[in-house]
Amino acid sequence: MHLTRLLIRDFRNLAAVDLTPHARFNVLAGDNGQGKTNLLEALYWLATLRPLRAARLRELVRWGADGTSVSARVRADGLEHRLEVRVSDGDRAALREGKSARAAEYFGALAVVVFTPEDVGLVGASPQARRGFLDRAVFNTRPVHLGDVNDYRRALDSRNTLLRQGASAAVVEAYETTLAGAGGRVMRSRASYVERFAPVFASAFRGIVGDDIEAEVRYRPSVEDPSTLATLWASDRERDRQRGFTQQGPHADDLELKLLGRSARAYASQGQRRALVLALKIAEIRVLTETAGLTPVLLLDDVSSELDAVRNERLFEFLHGFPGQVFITTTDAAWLRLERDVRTFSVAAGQVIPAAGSD
Amino acid sequence: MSSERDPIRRLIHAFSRLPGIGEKTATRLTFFVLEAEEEVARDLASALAEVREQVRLCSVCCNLTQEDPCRFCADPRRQDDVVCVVESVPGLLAIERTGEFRGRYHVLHGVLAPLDGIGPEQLRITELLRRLDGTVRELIVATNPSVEGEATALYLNKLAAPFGVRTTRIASGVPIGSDLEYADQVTLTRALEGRREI
Ligand SMILES: Nc1ncnc2c1ncn2[C@@H]1O[C@H](COP(=O)(O)OP(=O)(O)O)[C@@H](O)[C@H]1O
Ligand SMILES: [Mg+2]
Ligand SMILES: [Zn+2]
Repeated sequence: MHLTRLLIRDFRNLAAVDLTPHARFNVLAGDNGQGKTNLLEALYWLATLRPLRAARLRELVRWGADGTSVSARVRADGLEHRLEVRVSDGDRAALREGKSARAAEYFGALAVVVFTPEDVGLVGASPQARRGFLDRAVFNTRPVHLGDVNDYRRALDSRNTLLRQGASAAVVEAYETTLAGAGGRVMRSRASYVERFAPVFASAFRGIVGDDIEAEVRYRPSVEDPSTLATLWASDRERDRQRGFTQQGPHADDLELKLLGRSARAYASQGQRRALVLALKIAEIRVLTETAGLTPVLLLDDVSSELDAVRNERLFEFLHGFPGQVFITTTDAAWLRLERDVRTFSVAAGQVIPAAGSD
Repeated sequence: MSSERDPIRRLIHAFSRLPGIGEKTATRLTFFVLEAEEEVARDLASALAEVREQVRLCSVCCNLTQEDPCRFCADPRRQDDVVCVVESVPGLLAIERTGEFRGRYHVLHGVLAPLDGIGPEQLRITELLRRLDGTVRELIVATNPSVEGEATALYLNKLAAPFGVRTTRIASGVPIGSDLEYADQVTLTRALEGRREI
């Protein structure tokens, strides 16, 4: 799948953008603070209906504007789709083929995998950041995962609120059962994804560093067996009430990374961490292309400067073999290893225009 | 003139408090009312006033009605042993439109929603339990398939069990993340047929 046209209106500092991207490589070049990441964020929002950085929809709307819209034509499996997401009157609307669509109807035409400088710190980051990576990866193979995660979050916040208010056992129990339903779905989706993902990750890592050092990824659920969630919360209820929050459950899961059997978080070197992250991203993409038969659009946000020279070469080797569309931002084109099939756009003060001599 | 006394601003403000209506739509509606024939405004005003004066809760099922008991409770041809519990009156009307359900109704006027500060006391649950006097054998809980709708169904199941009442839940067919009132008739009919024990 790839975008053949991208239109943006009043998204962050991008007042009006109209791009005809290349089916392969698209470079967004410009100084800091010009709108490069904003453009990737617009694409991410269009594909997932979730903002990449913002906490509130309001932040996505260009200051002084009263709404925003991002739309694209996407070619997938020989068909052309039209997607649009917008905020007007404070509400978000998603449209597919020009018709307003529910989340379940909307997804499927466009999948993106994003790689940001924050991802480069994933190995040493909080479990929350790794869960975020995992859930985004699961979502691409299983869009309903987003609904399960949202339901889980809502039911969890509800249980915590009920515990703090000292609500009756019958009400708390009703929410625990609902929470266990959503939690079980979240855990099963994560577990079955990691099962497919782990061998692809191990081989991607070997491809980056060679055979002499073995890497391993494992799903580490907070509670081993999803069918025990409800009884566990019932028996934790008094203690959770005193704490004021729910201690155990899928919201405390982690994705564990190991090098030669040891925790990468505790022992891996800087270079090994970057290699691990690169392997995570490459494996995420491979799982989609090889096992789900889906070629996502890649969004790379100035990661070259965060990787070192060696890892950067590996990244571009991978990209050359990747058959799909790539959007890559950079402040310094010297990092890029692209000769053919490239279209370059320059980004300055929210204006995005084809660079001279491009194509 | 201060803005609170400016009738145009007052009407815009009043419209914008309605669900699904933002500032822009409220402004458009206001100027529509101003520019349309005078009758449009007069009809709207009297309908708004009368709806509050003449419509009240049915003392049996808590449906909104002009007559008490409401037409569903008063109809002698409906079955007394099955009660369909809905969140709201639009939910009731959606089920009724399928033409498949011939039992009675009960309107909760909401669902348990801790994040919005809504507990059992804010809902018409006491009124529901009062109806479980031996005649009712089954409660079909047709709350929306949201987190709150599911939790409310489980809660009612727990409360109804001691009365020897079977609780079922409509499930299959209602698209996840959608509201009952928007589900089409075929989908709702199938959902009613495929209801399951909670
Ligand atoms: N809602 C908004 N309206 C207008 N400008 C915004 C908004 N949100 C962020 N910006 C501006 O966008 C710029 C950052 O753009 P960004 O895409 O992150 O830069 P970069 O090109 O370095 O990736 C900043 O100048 C910031 O002030
Ligand atoms: Mg940036
Ligand atoms: Zn009635």
